[in-house]
Formats: sequence, structure tokens, C-alpha cells
Amino acid sequence: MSFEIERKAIEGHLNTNWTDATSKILWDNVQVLTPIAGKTLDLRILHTDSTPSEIGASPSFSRYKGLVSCAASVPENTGTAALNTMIDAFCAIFRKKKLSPATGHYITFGVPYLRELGIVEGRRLTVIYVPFYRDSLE
Amino acid sequence: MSINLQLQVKEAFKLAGQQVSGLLKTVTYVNVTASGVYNVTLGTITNTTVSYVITDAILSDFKYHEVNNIIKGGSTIVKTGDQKLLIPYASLSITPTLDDTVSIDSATWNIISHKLDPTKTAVHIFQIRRA
Repeated sequence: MSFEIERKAIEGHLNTNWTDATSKILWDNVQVLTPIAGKTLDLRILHTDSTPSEIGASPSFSRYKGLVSCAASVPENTGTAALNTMIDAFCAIFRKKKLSPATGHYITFGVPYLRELGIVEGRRLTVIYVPFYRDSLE
Repeated sequence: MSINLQLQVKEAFKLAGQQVSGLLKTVTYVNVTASGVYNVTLGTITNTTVSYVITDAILSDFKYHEVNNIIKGGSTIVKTGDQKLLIPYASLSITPTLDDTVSIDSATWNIISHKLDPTKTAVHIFQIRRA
């Protein structure tokens, strides 16, 4: 499984399951029309160290680990109810889910966790991290 | 602001172009009118755009003391290579956005900032940057 297949799988999973039409998803490195207002999710796929792995004598595979990072935000001074609703919906989409974008290949997600960024440039921001790993036979 | 002044400014651009060879540039202004739907497979969004071919634009460098500074009335820092683009309002009667782009000699330039002349209706003044 390539990084591109991984991107398609993760973005596609979110795109298919995200139902809040009042919010906007800001896809990585894709133009978003200004001004950015209302509720937004700013999605990034981050990667950490990868390792070779083996089960017994064979097969040998590579384990790629990463984080789905999503900055959820709402306008300043609008409370946190809408923000928390977005966070809950996002977490439910990924929490302990397993995707299979190709036969025999899986992306396995862990339990999401949050980091509060507070008010940034007029928006209340919380970053959601969802750890994941995927294995590739090579 | 009268339509008459807008036309006078446009005429002034035309006269200047007659006096100084090569002063006027033909540019294609691409106005984004609506956001498209994200295509997960391609990883892109194709927005809805309307193109305007402008035949009387003036392109110039920023003055050396404007580079790395914020120009008067602007809000963004001018970087080396940025260009100033002047378009008569009569040639582009829309409200530009920072999502728009300009095509000049087959190269795409992003709109970094936009303001109007002091009368607010005669000339568009753009700060543009090579995409």
C-alpha cells in the first residue's frame, strides 16, 4: 500500500461519513475560498517512524505509523458546544476503525485524543489526533 | 463616482499605452465564483470560474523601499518578485477576491492583496505573486 492509497482511504473515509453540511473540511494543500468562516475541520495526515516487521520466518512487511491530525475550529465567542459536537462526530468516524483500501492491506486506527490550542486569530481551535498504522508486504 | 470617470480613466490607460510602447499588457483575470466539490481520488477541487481578458492592464515592479514592507493602504508584506497590477475598473467591473488568479504570458499569478484607488471605483490595484 502506498502513501497515496493511504491518503485516498483516509480522506475518502472522512468525506463519506462526514454529514455536517454546516461545516467545511479544509483538505490538505487544497484551495479554500476566503473568508474562512463558520465551523471548519483542517485535515492533515502526519507520519512518524516506520519499522520493518516480521512474523516468524515470513512474510516480512513494513509497518508505517502515523497520525490523522484535524484542527477543529469555530468562531471566537460562540461557545464550545458546536466545537465539541464536531469533535465527537470526527472521533466516532475514526475511533478503532479498520479500513481495507486494498486486498490484504489494512489501516488500523487507535483512540483519538485532543490538544487544546485556545483562541488563534479569532477562532477557537482544538486539534484531534488519531493514531494509526498500516502494514505493507514488501 | 460616475461612469464617466471610469471611462475617462480607461481612456487615459489607452492613451498612455499609445505613448509608451509595451506599457499595456493583456492579462486574463480568473474570478472564482463558487467552490467546487472535493475529488478524493484526484485530491483536488475544481472551482467555478469566470475569465475576463483585459487588454489594458499595466504591470510594474514595486519600488525598492516597498519590498519587505507593507504598502500604504495594504495589509500584506511585499516580497521580492511581487508585481503591481493596475486594471481600469471599466475593464473589470467585479469585486475581486483573494481566491482569484491572473494569467500573464501563460504564467499564473496569485492575488495577494487588492485595493481600489482613492475614489474607490476607477482603478483596481493588485499585488500579485507568481504561483
